[in-house]
Amino acid sequence: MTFVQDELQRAADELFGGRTGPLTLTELAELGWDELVAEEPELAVGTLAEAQGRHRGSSRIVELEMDRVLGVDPVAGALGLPWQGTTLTASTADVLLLADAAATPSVLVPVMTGDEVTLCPLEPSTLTAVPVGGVDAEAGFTRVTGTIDPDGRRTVPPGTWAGAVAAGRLALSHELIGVGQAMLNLAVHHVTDRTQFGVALGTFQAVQHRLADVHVDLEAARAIARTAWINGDPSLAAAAHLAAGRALDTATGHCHQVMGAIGCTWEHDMHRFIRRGLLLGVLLTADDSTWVALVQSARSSERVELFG
Amino acid sequence: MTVTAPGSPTQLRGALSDWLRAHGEEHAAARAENEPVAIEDAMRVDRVFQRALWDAGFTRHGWPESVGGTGGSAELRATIYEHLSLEGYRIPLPLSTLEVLGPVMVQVAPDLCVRFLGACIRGDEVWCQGFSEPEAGSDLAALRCRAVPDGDGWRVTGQKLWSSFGSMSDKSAALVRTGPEGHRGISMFLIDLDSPGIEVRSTRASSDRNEFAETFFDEVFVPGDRVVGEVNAGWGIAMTLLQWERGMYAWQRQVVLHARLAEVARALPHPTPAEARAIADAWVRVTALRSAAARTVRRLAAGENPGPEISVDKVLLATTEQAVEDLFRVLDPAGFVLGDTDRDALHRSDWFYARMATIYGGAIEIQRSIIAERVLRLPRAGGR
Repeated sequence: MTFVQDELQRAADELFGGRTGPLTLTELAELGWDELVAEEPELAVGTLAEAQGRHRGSSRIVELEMDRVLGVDPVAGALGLPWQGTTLTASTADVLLLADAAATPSVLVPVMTGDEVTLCPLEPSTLTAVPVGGVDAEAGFTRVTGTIDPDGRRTVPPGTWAGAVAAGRLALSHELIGVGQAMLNLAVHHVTDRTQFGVALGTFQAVQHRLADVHVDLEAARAIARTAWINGDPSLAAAAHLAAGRALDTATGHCHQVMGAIGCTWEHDMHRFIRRGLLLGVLLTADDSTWVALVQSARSSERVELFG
Repeated sequence: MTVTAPGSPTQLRGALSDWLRAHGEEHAAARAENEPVAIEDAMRVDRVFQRALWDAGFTRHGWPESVGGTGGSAELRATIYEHLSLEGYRIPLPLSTLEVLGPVMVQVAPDLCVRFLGACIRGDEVWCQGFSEPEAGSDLAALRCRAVPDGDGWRVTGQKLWSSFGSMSDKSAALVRTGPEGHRGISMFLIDLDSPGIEVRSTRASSDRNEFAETFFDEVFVPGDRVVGEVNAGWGIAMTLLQWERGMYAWQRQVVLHARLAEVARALPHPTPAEARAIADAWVRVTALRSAAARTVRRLAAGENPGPEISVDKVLLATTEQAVEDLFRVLDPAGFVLGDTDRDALHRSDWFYARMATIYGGAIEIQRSIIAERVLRLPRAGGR
């Protein structure tokens, strides 16, 4: 780990550790977020988003990455994020706002007509905003529904929406990895301390191998994310996102299992990380076009240059 | 021809494409789609191609001048391997064992390499590993093949097995016991496999290929100058060598697996949603393997020790091998299960080879234990 990365990670841990509310745009500005992202995007987004995941923090980082690509001013409006149930082609919208975004003056949503993507505001009179309870109320998400105002639409250049989704997925990958890492840390701590049959649980290979597989899946997701940062290829970002999702599934299953009964209590934090993972799991999910793009990448002879 | 410094990986790729355009027809047999079913035939074809690549200068890059190379980083070799595949060619088989043995040997046994390694890089000779024994698999330090001093050399007696390409090899880099029990009494010898007292028997693998061989040594004389590095320092050499197996060999395999996956994906121009998801899932795995292996190759090329984290690469390699090869079984049962073309036979053979990937070079259980105890720092399991 380089000095800068080390410093930033410490700063990120301080920012997210022990707080209850979201990291605000103002605080990100004080951190010099825009400059940091312009100069060292992988370092900035990777470090902050992973720390956010590890601490179950919240902020608009994932959305800001999409805003940056789309040219959306996050102070003037918040981008409503598509989730697993969103239909981008309808005249009404059902989207999620990340924590700290609900206070913005307007909500923009993507609308697809054929291959063309426009960003449309929601009619203020039709807009309903409900705090998300569900599996994880602590994330501070807001679910927004409303009618699209076609007069305020702004056409997005071809490919830009795909680029925005890629940027969002890549940032989200880091957050998912952070959540999974937190689960692994909890599990490692538990099986090191807890003894049964006179030995630490972590001495049993059945336990060791489950946690080793969690580590492998997290590292696989990190490896793809590193490559995705090189050129912003939407397929690589989708791959990083899918791998991070799989790592989180592995972590949820294996870490919860080796925690034994203590992991089944409300008091223990394990279920809070599982809940955060389940909530984040509905954001920017793969759709038919994602699978088509990934199959196309599998057929391709193009590779990102990793040497030289 | 005059061999010059390669410049950048991009220039190297361009030069290789140009050369293949001019000379590809002479080496059509080395193209991926023309792979012979019998490994002996594949080896014959590959050695001709390997020699041509050497003569044209491509496989000299990334090896030191002392062994006939042009110098430069091992990253250049990795670049060549991938570009060969992207142009539709196989990576010549002997280059896989070369990449496991060569990089460490040039460091610990430069004099031996000056004398012998060039032949292996050229494709004039094939080298194999002589590590495993009937009683020493994952527990490699239990090996018993013994060498006793005899004049200015050694007499080797014992048995080795699971040596990839063993029946087609000229030399074996064999681990032998020259000292006390355990890992401190092991040396590595570079042994000529045509020495008197050696019998090599090929082993027909579950893949229906004569993938590996067992070697019997009966008081075989090995000259003293064939010790790789220091006497009784073989264990450390073998461990460093396994890092290259988990780095550059994993890189070579991702090259191959990418090509196989492309073959499956191209054969299905209109995949169903389920087929598309299966292909996409495999591509995600291959992409992770490529990213991880590239970083490890960069570290090894820079002389860094990746440490126990490299077991992550090995697990990724093994699981990715199986995920990709399973695609043929799942997506093409008519060919994979019922078919009798050479291609079908190869797909089956590759599938069985993939089953070995969680076993060879340290079983996946060993890798998981290494990750658990040395990366995650879990308490050590009992009995070891």
